[in-house]
Amino acid sequence: MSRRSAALFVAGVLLFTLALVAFWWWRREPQEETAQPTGRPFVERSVDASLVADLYFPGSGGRLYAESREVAAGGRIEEQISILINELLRGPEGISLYPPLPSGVEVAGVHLLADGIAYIDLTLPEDPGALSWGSKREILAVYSLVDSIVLNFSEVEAVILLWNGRQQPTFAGHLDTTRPLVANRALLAPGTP
Amino acid sequence: MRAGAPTDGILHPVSRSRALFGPLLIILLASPVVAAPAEQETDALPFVEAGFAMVKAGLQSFPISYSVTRFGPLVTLEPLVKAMGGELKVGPLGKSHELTLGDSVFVFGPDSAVITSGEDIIAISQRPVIGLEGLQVPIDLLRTVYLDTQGFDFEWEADEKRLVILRQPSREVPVEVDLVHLQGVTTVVLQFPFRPRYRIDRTDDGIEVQMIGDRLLPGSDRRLPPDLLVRDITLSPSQLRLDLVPNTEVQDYVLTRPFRLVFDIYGGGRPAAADIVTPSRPHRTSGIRTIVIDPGHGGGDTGAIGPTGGVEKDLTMMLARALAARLERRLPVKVVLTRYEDAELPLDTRSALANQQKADLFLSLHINSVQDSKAHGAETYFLSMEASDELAAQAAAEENRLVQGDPLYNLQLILWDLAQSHHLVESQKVASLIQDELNQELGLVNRGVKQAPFRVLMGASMPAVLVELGFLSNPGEEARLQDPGYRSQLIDALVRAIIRYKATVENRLLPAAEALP
Repeated sequence: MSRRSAALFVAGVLLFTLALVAFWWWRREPQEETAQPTGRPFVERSVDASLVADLYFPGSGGRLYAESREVAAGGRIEEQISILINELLRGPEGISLYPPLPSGVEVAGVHLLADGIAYIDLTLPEDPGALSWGSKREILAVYSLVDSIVLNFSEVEAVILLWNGRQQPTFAGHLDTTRPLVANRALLAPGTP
Repeated sequence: MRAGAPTDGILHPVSRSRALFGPLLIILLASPVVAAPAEQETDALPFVEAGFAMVKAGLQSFPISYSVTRFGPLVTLEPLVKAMGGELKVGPLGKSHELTLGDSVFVFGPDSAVITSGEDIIAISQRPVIGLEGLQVPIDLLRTVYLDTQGFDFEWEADEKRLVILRQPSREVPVEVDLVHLQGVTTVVLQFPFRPRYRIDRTDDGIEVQMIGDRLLPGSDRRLPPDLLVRDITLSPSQLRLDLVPNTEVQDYVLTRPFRLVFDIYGGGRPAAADIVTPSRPHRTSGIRTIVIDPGHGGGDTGAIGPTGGVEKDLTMMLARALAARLERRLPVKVVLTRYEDAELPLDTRSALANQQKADLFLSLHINSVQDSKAHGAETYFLSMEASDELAAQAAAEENRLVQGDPLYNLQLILWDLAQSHHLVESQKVASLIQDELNQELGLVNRGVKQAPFRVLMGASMPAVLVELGFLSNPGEEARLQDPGYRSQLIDALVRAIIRYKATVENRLLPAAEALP
């Protein structure tokens, strides 16, 4: 093979390589788009700033059941989370579901940090730990809050619960609430979206 | 056709594609971008530069020799020890270095990117090297040694060739104090929201936890019970002091998540060496010899209350006492309860007690309740550090991947995870056996073995489970739980499960039928 033929062969191979790389790049972009999370958020922000959210209430079989609500929203994400929690505290509309927290509980503050951890400060009429609850009721109460927040707001990865402005070891004597809590889908009733 | 070549008719197209990709592969492999040679770890660290730097410590400054590798700067240790305090001993071969600061002893050397301190193993960014003026160490070794013990931090200013020593600002550290006395041993637990900088000083009549730069704040104003071995506990911003009766011996150890400093105080002399507790290590056992049973709730913490007034704390107490008696009758084991009376006991203290007793198994007994009055059945839980959620698992896997690629990955985490993984596997076995026995013998609804981040299980350094023995919120189940005969059935099921687990652990696989009482 002459030097000219060899040079042409190398140039051809290089062009082929470039074409392959360009083809791979062209094919890669739509794959990245489809890799975007589509399961979340459930929050649909409409033009008049209302949102449809799934709230998770304790029900039979020690499970959480979704109830869709359209609630007024708008403004910052913390305000929307606060509205959602207030809606949760209002209780379920379904007759076989239960309010997760005792009456008198109020949202004292919501703070969302850049790392996706939401601090939810709740005012309780009595001291946490003094509630005469079993562990299952405590688990359902805590994850009713956590799942309703995390599964509705893609911006939130985990929740830290503060009771009366302080982080407490537990809410009712069992579940550790000193660490960020992530969503627990295992508690959702079968068929929950 | 070559031996082993496929005969399904696709050989030809494959060969064609190989012909096309052959030259391409050669080019790609030759390309420095695509196929950069892997960076090799060599014994000889490539020094980027070396010379003298200045150390600036407040108003003082002095020269020090240094070198820089691709992992960062190394500075000569000896002049720094002279300036900041500590006793440095070098082994006979000139390699092993032992630095003593108060009660803390750190061992390190030129062949290892690891420091040991007591039972802790701490990874550092690079191996120290021996220079002309002695051992040169990385900056993070200095931080590890001096930050927690003396409150000094270090900053390397590369442009100025200067090592700045900073005194850390004072932090306010809330401390919760708990005290419990059991079988001649008093355990005092100091719980902090983060690891404080402290030193433990022993005097003739007590123990002093001295803060180094930090300031102590009292936590809750809960009154501690009077104790036979601890005369008084006093707190000031700079120290917490335990006044002890004469002739006591004290073992101290640390528990993490949250950070706890634990003192086991023995009356009348030092415990045997075999009795020394090391709860932060994996608990290896050749059998089940000690079982700690925790009657859930107590004192002002009633736990669940049933529709006709059944109280969880009373039921768990009755069940725990009966279970302990029956276990000791049927097995060669020592059984200890976390409480023997109607007293409130913090959750962390319950697991600390199990550690103190060197328990081989920890059972926390509870009665459930929920708003749905029809819910019934038993549930057995073991610890979950994360919620059982797919996203959490993915996040944990990603975090592990990132952490393992980090040269500063702390070996303590690996050890802790190994210990916890071992306990979790064993805890799951115990939970399955208990749930199986409860389901089979009592015809209870199988609510299954579950995981939850229960606080009472977190500090336990042994297989640990929490058993919910029914729903007090269900009127029918509340009535049955008040019946001694029904409780006896529950206890039989628990005893059978423990016998089966003990046999499994001790490699004497008893069939379930043989284990029946």
